Amino acid sequence: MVWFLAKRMVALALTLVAASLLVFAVLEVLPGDPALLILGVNAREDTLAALRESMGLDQPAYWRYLTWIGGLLSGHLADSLTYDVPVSELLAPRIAVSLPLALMALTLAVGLALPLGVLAAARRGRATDVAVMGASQLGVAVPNFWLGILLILLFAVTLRWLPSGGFPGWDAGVGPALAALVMPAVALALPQAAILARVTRSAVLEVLGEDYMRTARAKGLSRGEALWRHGLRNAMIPVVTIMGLQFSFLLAGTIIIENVFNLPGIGRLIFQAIGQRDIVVVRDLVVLLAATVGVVNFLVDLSYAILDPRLRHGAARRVHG
Amino acid sequence: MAVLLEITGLGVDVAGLTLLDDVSLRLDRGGSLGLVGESGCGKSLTALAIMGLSPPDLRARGSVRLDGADLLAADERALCAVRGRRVAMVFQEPMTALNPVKTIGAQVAEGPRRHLGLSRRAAREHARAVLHRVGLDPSRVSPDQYPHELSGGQCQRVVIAIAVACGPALLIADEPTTALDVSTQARILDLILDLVADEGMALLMISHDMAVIAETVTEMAVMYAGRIVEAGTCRRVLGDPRHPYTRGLMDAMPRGAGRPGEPLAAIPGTVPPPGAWPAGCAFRDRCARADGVCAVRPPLVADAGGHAVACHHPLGDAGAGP
Repeated sequence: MVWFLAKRMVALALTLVAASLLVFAVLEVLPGDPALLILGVNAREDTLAALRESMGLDQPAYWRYLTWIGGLLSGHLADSLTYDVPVSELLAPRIAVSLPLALMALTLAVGLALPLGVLAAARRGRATDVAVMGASQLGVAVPNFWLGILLILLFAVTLRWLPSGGFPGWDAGVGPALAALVMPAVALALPQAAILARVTRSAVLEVLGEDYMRTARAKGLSRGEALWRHGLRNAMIPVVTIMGLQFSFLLAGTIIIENVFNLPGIGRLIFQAIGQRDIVVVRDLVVLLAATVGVVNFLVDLSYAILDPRLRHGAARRVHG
Repeated sequence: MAVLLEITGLGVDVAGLTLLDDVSLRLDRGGSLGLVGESGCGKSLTALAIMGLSPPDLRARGSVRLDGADLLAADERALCAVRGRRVAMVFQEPMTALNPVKTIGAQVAEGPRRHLGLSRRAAREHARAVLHRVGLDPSRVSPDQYPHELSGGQCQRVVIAIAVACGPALLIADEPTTALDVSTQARILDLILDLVADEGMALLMISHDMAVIAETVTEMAVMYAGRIVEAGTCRRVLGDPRHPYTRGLMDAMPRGAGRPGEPLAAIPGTVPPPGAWPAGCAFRDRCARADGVCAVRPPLVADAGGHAVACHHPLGDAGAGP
């Protein structure tokens, strides 16, 4: 178990190094001079050179990379090129929007998908199954931004139940803040729930055909009890895998959804930073997102070990005659 | 002895195909009966039909009476009370028959907790004792271990422990040793016989292996293409096989006396899939004795000694041979 975790930690660290190298290299080869961006196209060449020197842009690439990483590790993030404040100061209020949004969306997606997927599998081929699968087919096909716009039209414009966008801030009270996040969370969650419900259904169906389910029934457990006590934990292993993968899509989805709903979150910050060639913000955010995905994958690996004792013991399954 | 299990005219159909037809069996309390036949002849299906666990799209007809109560007519709730309590089953593949994410102790304790009304703690103690009884000494194989930590033979002992945990009146063993290596097979069979004798359980042993049947039961039925073709005491059936199929199965058994390199005897052809069974005697396409009359289905007729055969040209019947 310890060895298993140690290996995952090393993998996580290597992933982050690779991600940081990649984003640094991409920003390096992309056109756009930060000094020119700050001073404007009419700036004099010697002013530009002076600014480049003060920003360290005249240093060799490896040195700038190491300076950046050193800053990240010591917690001293560089100043944003457009906001002129350290990136860390930009992050805090935006994480306060994006993190609750992601958690709401994830909870909603899982809360919808698992019961529906299990239900559809248990009632395979019957009306419930057909209804759930039909709805999920629709959910898979609908893009989240379009769903977001539909939700705005219905709940904000027509019914006037919820705000159409923007974020009042947590200072305005938990109620209004959550109300502002409900529609974005639903728009993010539904397409994900649709996929997850399908995966859950097929995982449960596969488990239902396993020999140990027959053993459980032969003990006198009813169909439902056998599914609940013996099936679900086995079915969760593929479901958790997909949940981990979906988390990355959830992060990508927030970039779009925060723009649709005009939410001041991480997704919008990175979108704007790319538009403004604010490479300092972009590179820090990309590493932050990569780290988040890495940590989530680490948690997924950890949950495998909790779900499946065969992994916990760190040994490949022994095969005997 | 009192009749424990009486199967009358059991048939199983799926989508218009008949998989099992007119199967009738009788097993006394504490008695033993073997079902033998090639793969696909309906042995396992008979067992699952007794348990009420045949796949949901299959339809069973006839009757399966356990202590007089018809299990085919019983509702799901009543069947749950019978399964694991009155009738229990040992499966063929011990490695897949156990849940990989639950400890073996928990898997054994589940039945007693449900059927015997034991508390969680008492059920755990009971499971420990049952595991010990089937040869898994808790000091060597802990009830807290998982199936993947055990060998195939040990897993089969766990499966047996699950089956006998609530003291069933009938133990169905469906090819319990087929997936195991030869040295383990004998020990598992010994264990089953030992438990059956100790607990006074009736045993329904299902196997494709005549030797296993001969060693474990006193009565047997030979199945072919979903029907019983010969039945009687093992002494009569194995000592004086009347059906050409039974004879073929016995000849196909490898014998220690055979010379190395000598080809094993085999029944020509294979069991046809359901739907391709010939009308009349289903075995006639593979039978050297078959003639025109075999297009009419032969009835299962018993002699005075209870030795029954369904054949128009039974072996050892001088007058009727072709």
